[in-house]
Amino acid sequence: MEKREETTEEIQRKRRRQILLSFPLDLTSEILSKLPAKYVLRFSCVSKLWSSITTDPYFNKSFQTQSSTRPSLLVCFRRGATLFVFSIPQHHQKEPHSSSRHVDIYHTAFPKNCCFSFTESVNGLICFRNRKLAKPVIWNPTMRKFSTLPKPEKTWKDITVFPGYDPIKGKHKLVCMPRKKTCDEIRVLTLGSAKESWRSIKTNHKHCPLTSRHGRCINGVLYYEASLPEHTDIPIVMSFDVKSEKFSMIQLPSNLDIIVGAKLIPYKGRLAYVRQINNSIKLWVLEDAEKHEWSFKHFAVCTYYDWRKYVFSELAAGTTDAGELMFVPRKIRTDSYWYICYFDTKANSLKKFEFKEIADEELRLSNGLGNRGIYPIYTFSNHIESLVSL
Amino acid sequence: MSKSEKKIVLKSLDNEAFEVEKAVALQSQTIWVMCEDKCVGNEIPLENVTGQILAKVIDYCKKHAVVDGDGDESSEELKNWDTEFTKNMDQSTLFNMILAANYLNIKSLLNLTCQAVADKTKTIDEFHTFLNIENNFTPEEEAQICQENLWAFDD
Repeated sequence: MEKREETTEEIQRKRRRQILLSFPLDLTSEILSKLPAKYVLRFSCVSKLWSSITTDPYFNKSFQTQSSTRPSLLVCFRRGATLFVFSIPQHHQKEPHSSSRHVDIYHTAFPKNCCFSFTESVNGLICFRNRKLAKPVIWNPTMRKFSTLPKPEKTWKDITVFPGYDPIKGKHKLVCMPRKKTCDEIRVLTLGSAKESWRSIKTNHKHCPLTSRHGRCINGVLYYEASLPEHTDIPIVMSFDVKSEKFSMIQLPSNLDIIVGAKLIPYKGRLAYVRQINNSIKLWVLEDAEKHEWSFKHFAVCTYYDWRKYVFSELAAGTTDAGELMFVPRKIRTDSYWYICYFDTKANSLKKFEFKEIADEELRLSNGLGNRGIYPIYTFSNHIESLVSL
Repeated sequence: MSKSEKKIVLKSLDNEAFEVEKAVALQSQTIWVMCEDKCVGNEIPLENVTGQILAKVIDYCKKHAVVDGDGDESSEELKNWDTEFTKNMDQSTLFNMILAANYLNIKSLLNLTCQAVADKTKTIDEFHTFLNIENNFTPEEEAQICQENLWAFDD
């Protein structure tokens, strides 16, 4: 650099340098971990030192810890080969001003022959399947990257795949089985291991996973619905301990018919089923998996507006940290905005928040979306930013 | 030091002395350890913190000590107070606060000040200027790494 006279700014900069020469690297890393992913990536372009900090596994872990304090609801829809992604802060909102909320928007090319209905965001990663290739696909919405994994088993024509996360080791594992087939040899793959390959794990409960149903991973245990060969008409929940890789079977409560619209959700750190009919919400919470014990709650929704009018929706997208149930519509209508309904089980109150930014006129115009309603809308609750590279 | 002694004197790098309640000072793990080990008298020299910064740290500790003790203020109010506390600090004060919180080992203050820097710093230039990081990428390397993360540069 050429030598010039020092400006005041440069003198100030020098003074700062004196402070910062002694600024420990772990504190820089601490500050970086509190930034949104976008800025972390931006800043990693600044220097080799920072680039090395932000790709360090330890940093990734502390970033995730920070990121888990600000979960978001990811809202997506497809139009042709394009996937539109909206990220909405999920934390409890007090003021019903939709404009005050910040919605992050982007669109990206969606991989061919894939469908991601009925999947969830597990510690920042979303997993779905490529129907044609019978291969799982991993999506990191933060890094905007998709990655197709190897086929779990040559002979499988189609697959059902669920992601799990072990919070102690900080590892994602994928659980895969043949679609619509009963089996007792499940394939498991640990993401980010030195050699990513499928392992076969035997279960004592021969089962067939139900299709078009959600799996849920809560505190290191993956739950998904299945049926046993001897009682194909009685659904059960299979649990998979992501760390120990052990399968167990959980019976459902007798007064619950899951086929007619009850949905698996995480509720205050437990597995729950929620079902909404007219002005009432029914909630079954798993109390003891070994004893197959569920508690049951019933809420009559006291609301001044017609619940049915608003919730022609898919069921609960999930629950907030405060324990509110979230309900979202599966369609963006042309005559109203997309919204989230929060149901507070304690106060028995329903709040509705609209989001103008989702498929507004500008977005429709610039992407040729036209004036029709948009369906289906996919939502992923408790999504957290992750810097995991695929 | 006996338990009946409730006051403690903190002495800054530039020899400024602050007399504070013990409960206030003991939020610092560093001071707590010093007192436990009885390696200091009633006056604690803090060689890494200037009086200007120490005064602010004490303000923070006083606020948080009162709340912990009496529980008369909600966590909401405390949060608002924290926001106000860091709102008008310039960057070099913030960085000095981080260093002080780190040295004194006050986790909540470290967390607060790091978050404040993160919240205030949204452009590369700001951060760059601040931490004075030299860009040691070659132009080719920089182009490549920026290309990979191109979307991160949209606002």
